[in-house]
Amino acid sequence: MNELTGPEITMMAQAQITPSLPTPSAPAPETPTAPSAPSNGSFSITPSLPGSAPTPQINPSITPQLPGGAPSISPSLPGSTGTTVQPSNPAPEPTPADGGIGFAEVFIAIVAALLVALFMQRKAGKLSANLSAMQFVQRNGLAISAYLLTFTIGWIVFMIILPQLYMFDFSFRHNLLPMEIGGPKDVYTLKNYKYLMFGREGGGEMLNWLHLAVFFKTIIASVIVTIINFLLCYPLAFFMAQMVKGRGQRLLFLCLLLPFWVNEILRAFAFKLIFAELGLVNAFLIGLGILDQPYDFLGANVALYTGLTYAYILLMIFPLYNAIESLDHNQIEAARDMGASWLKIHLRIVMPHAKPGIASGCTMVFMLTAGALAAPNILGGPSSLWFTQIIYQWYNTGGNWPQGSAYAFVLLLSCIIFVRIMMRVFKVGLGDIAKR
Amino acid sequence: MTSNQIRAWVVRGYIALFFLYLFGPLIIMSASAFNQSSYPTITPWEGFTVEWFGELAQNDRLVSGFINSVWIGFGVVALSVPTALAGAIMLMQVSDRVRPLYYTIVVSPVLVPGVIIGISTVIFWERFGSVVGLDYETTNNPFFLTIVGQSTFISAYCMLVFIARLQRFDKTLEEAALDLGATHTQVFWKILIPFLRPAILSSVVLAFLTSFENYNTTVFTMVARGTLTTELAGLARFGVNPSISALAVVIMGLTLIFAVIYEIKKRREEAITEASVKRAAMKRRQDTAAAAAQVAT
Repeated sequence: MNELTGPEITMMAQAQITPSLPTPSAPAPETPTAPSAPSNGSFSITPSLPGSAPTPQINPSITPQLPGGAPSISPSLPGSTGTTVQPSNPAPEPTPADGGIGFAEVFIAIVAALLVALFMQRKAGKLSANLSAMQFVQRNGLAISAYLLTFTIGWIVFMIILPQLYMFDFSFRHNLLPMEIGGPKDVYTLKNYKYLMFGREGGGEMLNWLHLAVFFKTIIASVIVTIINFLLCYPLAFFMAQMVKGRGQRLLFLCLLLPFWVNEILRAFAFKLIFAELGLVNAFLIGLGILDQPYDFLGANVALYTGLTYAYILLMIFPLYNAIESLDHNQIEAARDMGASWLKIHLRIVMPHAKPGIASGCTMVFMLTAGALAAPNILGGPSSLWFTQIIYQWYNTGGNWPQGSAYAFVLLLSCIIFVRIMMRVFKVGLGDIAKR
Repeated sequence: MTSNQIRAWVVRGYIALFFLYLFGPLIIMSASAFNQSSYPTITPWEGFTVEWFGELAQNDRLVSGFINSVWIGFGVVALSVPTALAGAIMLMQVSDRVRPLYYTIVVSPVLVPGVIIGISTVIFWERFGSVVGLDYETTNNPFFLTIVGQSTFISAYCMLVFIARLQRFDKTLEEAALDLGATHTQVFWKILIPFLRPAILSSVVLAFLTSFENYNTTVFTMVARGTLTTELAGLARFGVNPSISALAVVIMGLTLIFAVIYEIKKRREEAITEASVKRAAMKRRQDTAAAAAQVAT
């Protein structure tokens, strides 16, 4: 399915960035392995950039006093000023006449500048409203507020928002050879998304069944794993929250937490051992005489689904426990005294009360299952793929990064849709879901 | 009466099965590390051995992956704990209008699949570095990318730890210190940080262990290099050698010791905090009673 292979294509995908280097450093490197050492040092470009006006508080002088974060955060400082400046200075530097790329960069810069400006304005507005806080900033809180702003803005802009925007932009591009970038062929395209839907142009098929099937299989399997997980965990969560107290409860907690600290890879590997051809389950079934010869549990994905259910079980238990724990036990007693059946008590009293916990647990488990890569790599049968594995192939052996980005964006979109559905169905906020 | 007894037995059986599911696989894997069989299994038990542990130390890739993991873990702690602290304090300070939007943004990395965080980090720094004119080797360094990529969501985890603690922060302490002439920097270092110390400790441990065992993000950001977890995944996928089980025993032993210490410490600190809160409440009640008595007389 990956028509592009070979190291030179992987190199090409990595070298795509070269033409968007700022014009001053003229000799653009041909390949990533031989960069021509730009004149600017790595972190020291702040002074050379024009007009760092909009971010006066973020003074580089603050970073040295925070030894840990300094090396990694300082490169984002020059960036923040550089990006913010672009819209106000009509193309002094990194927007050469290379068509699509220039436009994209400007667009992203504008978004970033707006966000930064909005954020700081709001922050400033808040401070002026609060007199003591305002005084502290003016008097001697400069260092602390600079620290807060640097780290928060660095995190939000350079780690959360911009990477996602870049990936989104990248997914609309052609997978070009290095010399073609910036040329007439470098335009936006829907090709990568079309490929997921319809396959290769002129491929003869109506739809790209191979990848679509994997996509839907991943989503449906994740939903099923989530439901099984819920059914498995709900009774225990209820038992822990309402039935046991004190020492027994603490012991149960510790027992639940311990496997969670063990590496995800090892948890998956343990299931590979159990379900392998020479594993325990086959030996057991043959010993009982149920099977004549080993059954291929790995190929049938039994191991995969069991392992996935296992992997995120605790992210279901804890939200459920927290939600059920806050229910007043007297309500259950009252319902029982009134003659409500066991099933009715759970459906009408406990579950409605535990809604935020159910939403949180189900969302976390679904997201992690749909985005899992380790367990499918280790436990998946040779013939079956998980959607994340296809994404990984586009990056790794396929060497088509824009295509991989498009697939990744589709995955992200389905996760967002799932979260929205959960929020709507359970009528909870995002804060309830992300609480762990 | 009998139906109650049956129900009690059902509950017991269910809990036993649940914990069998939880611990069984790990126990079987650990046991297979000591089996002489050259395939990692326990069913034909061919005798006890520890030779698989010896093989571990000779695997250069695992050893170098382990060293990489430790360095990355330190980097992630150094970046994500200050970031998380700043993010949590900011959440307390932003105006009510912005708070929902702000919270949505900073908490979103928890909900985004790790694979996507890895991909977007690699793409962003590759292109951004060239736009700004940074050295290619700097922004495409696998260690830099891995630390930044992992910190994106580990910061959010740690932030949730800080928020939980900050919600119990007594703001009057801060105001009292300011009234008595303390600078805000002094308040930060002498009041806020000591109050947050348990949360800082928790997030350091959480950040390091999460970084250490992360696979989904790391496998993209490490490019051609490997951490212990990615090397382990390669072995677990293709290799059928009991030395993986031996490594599992070592890692599990270490993490379990860590985890037990961490849990016990956390619980004790929580108990101490609760006790002091209770004591303070009781003191206040006594003071009020005394004052009331004085007024009465």
